[in-house]
Amino acid sequence: MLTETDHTDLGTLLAFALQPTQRPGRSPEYRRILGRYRTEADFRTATDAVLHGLGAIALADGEFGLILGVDAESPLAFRFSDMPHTTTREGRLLAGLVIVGLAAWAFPSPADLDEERVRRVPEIEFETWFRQICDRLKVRDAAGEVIPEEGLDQAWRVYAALPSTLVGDRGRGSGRLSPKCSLYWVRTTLSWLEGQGMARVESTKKEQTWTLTERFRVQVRDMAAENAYSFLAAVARGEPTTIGHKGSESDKQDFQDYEKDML
Amino acid sequence: MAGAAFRTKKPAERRAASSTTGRPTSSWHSTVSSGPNSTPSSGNPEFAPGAQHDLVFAVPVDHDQCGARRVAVTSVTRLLDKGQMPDGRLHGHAVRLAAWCNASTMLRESQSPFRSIKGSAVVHVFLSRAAAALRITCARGTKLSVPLSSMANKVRYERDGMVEVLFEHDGGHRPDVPPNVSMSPIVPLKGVLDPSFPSRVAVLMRSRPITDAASAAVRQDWPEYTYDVATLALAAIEMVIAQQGFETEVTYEEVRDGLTIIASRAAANRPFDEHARVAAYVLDALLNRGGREAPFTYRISDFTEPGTHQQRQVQFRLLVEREDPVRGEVVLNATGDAINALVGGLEFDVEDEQAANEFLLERQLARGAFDAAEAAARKARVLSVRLASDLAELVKATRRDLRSVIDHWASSAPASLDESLDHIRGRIDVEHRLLGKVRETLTSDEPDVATASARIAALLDETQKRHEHLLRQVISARGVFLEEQDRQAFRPPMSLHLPDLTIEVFHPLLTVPTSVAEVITARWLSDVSGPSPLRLPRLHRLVNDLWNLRDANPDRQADLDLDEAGEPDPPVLRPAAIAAASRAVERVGLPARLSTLISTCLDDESAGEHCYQAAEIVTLAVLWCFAPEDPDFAGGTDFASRLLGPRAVADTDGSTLAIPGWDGDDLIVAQTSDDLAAANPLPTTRTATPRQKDF
Repeated sequence: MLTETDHTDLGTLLAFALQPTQRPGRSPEYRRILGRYRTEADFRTATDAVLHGLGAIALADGEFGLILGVDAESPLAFRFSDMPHTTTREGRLLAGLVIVGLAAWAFPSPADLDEERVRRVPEIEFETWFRQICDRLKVRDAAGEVIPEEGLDQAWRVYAALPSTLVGDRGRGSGRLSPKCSLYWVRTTLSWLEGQGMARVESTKKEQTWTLTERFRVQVRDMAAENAYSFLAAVARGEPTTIGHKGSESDKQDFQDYEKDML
Repeated sequence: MAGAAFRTKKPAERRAASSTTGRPTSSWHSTVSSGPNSTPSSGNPEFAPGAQHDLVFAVPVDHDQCGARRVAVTSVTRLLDKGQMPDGRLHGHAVRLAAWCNASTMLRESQSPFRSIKGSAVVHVFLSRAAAALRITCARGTKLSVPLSSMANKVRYERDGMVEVLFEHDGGHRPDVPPNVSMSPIVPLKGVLDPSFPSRVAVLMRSRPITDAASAAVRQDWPEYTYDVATLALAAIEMVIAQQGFETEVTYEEVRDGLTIIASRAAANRPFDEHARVAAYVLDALLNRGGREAPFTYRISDFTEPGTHQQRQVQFRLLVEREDPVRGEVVLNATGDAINALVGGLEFDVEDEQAANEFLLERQLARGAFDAAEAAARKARVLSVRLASDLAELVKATRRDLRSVIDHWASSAPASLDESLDHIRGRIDVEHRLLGKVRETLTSDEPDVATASARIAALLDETQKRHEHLLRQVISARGVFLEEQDRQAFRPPMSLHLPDLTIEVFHPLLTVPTSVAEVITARWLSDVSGPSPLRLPRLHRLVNDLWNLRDANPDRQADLDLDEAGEPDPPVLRPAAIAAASRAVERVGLPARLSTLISTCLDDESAGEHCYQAAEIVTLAVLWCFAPEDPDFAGGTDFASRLLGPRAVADTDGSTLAIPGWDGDDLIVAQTSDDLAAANPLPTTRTATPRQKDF
C-alpha cells in the first residue's frame, strides 16, 4: 500500500521526467526517486499505471533519467503547433523530413540504433547528403519528366525545390538565413532538438556541428522507428494504416483519399 | 636484347646483382616449376608462346607496417618478342595487363585479373596473342622477367634458398584453367591454416587506422616528417585511458589541447595553430570522423578450412564519444580494441596478465629497474581499464535487455565475477604492498630514482583507486542481474526488429505524396519528442505580457525571419525631429528648464511639421534622466545620452509647465549633478502653440 509520501515521490518523478534536461546525476532527489522506481516493485507499478493513464510509457530508466514515450492521442503528445517556425504546411513538412533525415543520418544501420554513443551532425554536410538523396530521385529526361498520375507532389520535391543557402538581404531578415532555403530548416530543427535535450551544438570555424544525444537515440529506437516503418510498409502494401492522425482536417481528408486510391 | 632481358636469374646471380648495385631488393626470388616433383627451370613443354593460356601463379605479399596490404607484384607486363609480332613492330611492353598495389581495392573488383589471397596474390593472365615472356614487377622494385618457354603454370619463390610453396590446390582441375595447363598440388603453409591465424590478423588490423592516418598525413599542409602521428595517436589513447572510468573523463577539447602541447614540443618553430590542427587531425582519425565515425572496417582472408578461402570482415572502433550523464558533456572513451592495441597484445586473460605484470613490477622494483617498473605500472593501469570496460559492457547489456546475455549469466558470468572479485581483492593487496615499497625510494638521493618512484607511486595509486571502484562494480553486478530479472520479467519484450532507417523509412518517406508524408512526420515528431506538458496561461501573467513591449531578444528574431523580406519599416522617430531636438538643446544650453526646451522646439521653423515630435523627444529624454523606467533597456539611456549628455540629470523644484497642451513639472535638466545643484534657470511661458493641423 503506497503512502502519501510515495505518491509525492511518484509525482516528483513524473515532474523530472517531463523536463528533458534534468539528469539524475545532477540531482540527488531525482537519483533517489529513480532508484525507487528501479528497485521497488510497488512504486514502479503505480508509476507505470499513472503513465499508462496519461498515454505514456517509460522507455528507459538508466543514468539519463526516466525517458518517456507518449501515445499519439495522449494529452502530453507533442504537436507541430507546439514547434516554433512551423506555421506553414510546407514548414511543417520540411521540419518533419529533416528530423527523419537526421535519424537516418545518425543511425545508418539497425545495429547503430543499439549503440550508445553520441552522433555528430555537421549541418552543411548533412544538408548536402540530404540533397544528394533528393537528386538521385530526380528523373532526368531531355524531353522533360513524365508526370505520374498522383502528380509531382512527392515529399522530396519540397526539399529539393529550395536552394541550399539563402541569406536575406533586406529588412529584418538581412544577413540571416532565409526560411526559403533548406539549411534554415536543418538549423531550425536542430535548434529545436537542442531545446528538447536531444541535441547540443558545438561550433567550429567552418560550420556549426551538432551532436545528437542519447535521448534522441532512445526515442527513435523505441518509439519512432517502428511506427514509421509499419506505416510505410502498410502504405507500400496498399493496406489501411493504423497510425494516429494529428494533422488538420484537410490533411486527414487528403490522407483518406490517398488510402482509397491505394486500395 | 630481348633474350637477355627475359632470362630468369638464378637466386645466386640475383643476390650478387643486387649486392653490386646496392639497390634494396626483395628477398624473394622466382623459380619456375611444372609439378610437385619438378626442379626449378625444368620447363614445361605444354606451354608454348603464341597459344592461349591462363596462367595461375602465386606471388608473395610485401608486408608493410600495417599488415598484408601491398602485394609484391605491382604489375605484370606481357612482353612480345619482336620476331613474332604479326606487323613486325617492336613492342617490348606492348600490353600492360595490370598495375596495382592495393589488395583491398582489388578484392572488390571481381573482373580484375588478380585474385588476392591473404599472404599472396594469384594472378590469372589470359594470353591471347603471341608472347615471349612475362615481366613481373615487385613492389620493392625487383623486376622478374620470366620467359614463357620455360614457364609452368605456377611460379614459386625461394627465400633464403628454401622454396616456399604458398598454396595448396584441392587436387582437382580448376574449371578456369585449360586442360593443357597442369595444376600441381601444393604443400600447405601451416601458419595460414592455423585456426588462430585470422584472429591474429584481425588483431593486427587494430593498428591500421593509425598507420593509415600516418600515411595520409603527408597530404596535410604541414611539412612532411615533422610530426609523428603514430606517437600522437597512442598518446591520445593513453590520455583517454588515464581518466576513463573516473568521474572526470576527458573531452575532445582536453585531449586535443594535450596533443597540441606534444606537437608543439615536436616542432617548436612551427606556428601554434598548426600544432592544434595536427592534434585535431590525429584525434579525428582515431574517431574516424572522416568516415562519419563509422567503425573501421577491413577485410581479411581466412584459410583455416582446408582447401577453401573465405573473407572475414573486421570491424572496430578505437575511440568513441559518449554522453556523460552527470556532467552532460560529451566525453571520450577508449574501446577494448584500442586498449588491446595500446597494450600491444593479442587476446589474453586480463587477470593472468595483470598478475604476471605485478609480479614483474615487484621484481623490477626489487632490482632497482625503475624505468621498466614504470612501464609495468603503466601497463597495469591499462589492464584495469580493460577489465572495467568488459564488466561495464556486461552490466549495460544486462540492463538493456537481459535476454541478450542470459546465456552468459547462466554459464560463465557468475564464476567469472567470483574470479574477478578474488582477483581484484588480491590486486588491491599487492598494489598496497608495492606502493609501500615504492614510497621507500621516494626519498632517494638519486634524482632519477626519486622522480621515477614518484611517477610509479602515482600510477599505482590511480590503479588502486580503479580497483576499489571496480570492486564495488563487481559486487553490485550480481545484484544488477537479479534486479533486472525482476524488472524485465513483466516488461513487454522489446521489438526485435529494428528497421533500417535509411532504406526502410527515409527513402520511402521521401517518395510518398506530401499529404501522406505530413501525417508520418507529425507522428514521428510526436514519438521522437516525448512528452510535452500542457501549459495553461495564468491571467495576471497574460495581462502583463500583453502590456509589455515586444520582446527584443535577438534569439527570437528567427520568428521574424518567416516574414517576407520587404521594405524596411519606417523609423518611429523621424530623423528630422531628432535633429530639431538636438538643435533646441544646443541653442538653449544646459542647465535649462523643460519649458524652455519645448518652447524652442515649437518655435523652430526649420523643423516644420516635426517640431511637435521634437518637443516630445526632448520631453522624453528629460523624463528619462529624471526617472529611467527600466535600467536594463539600454536604448533609452543611449538616446538620452546622445541628446543631453552622458551624465545628464534632471530634477524638479515644484514649478509646473505653463505651455498650453503640456502638463506636469517644469523639470530642470543639467549636464552633471553639480551643475544641477547650482542651477536656477528661468521658466518659459507661452499662451499659444503652433497648431498641428497647420503643418
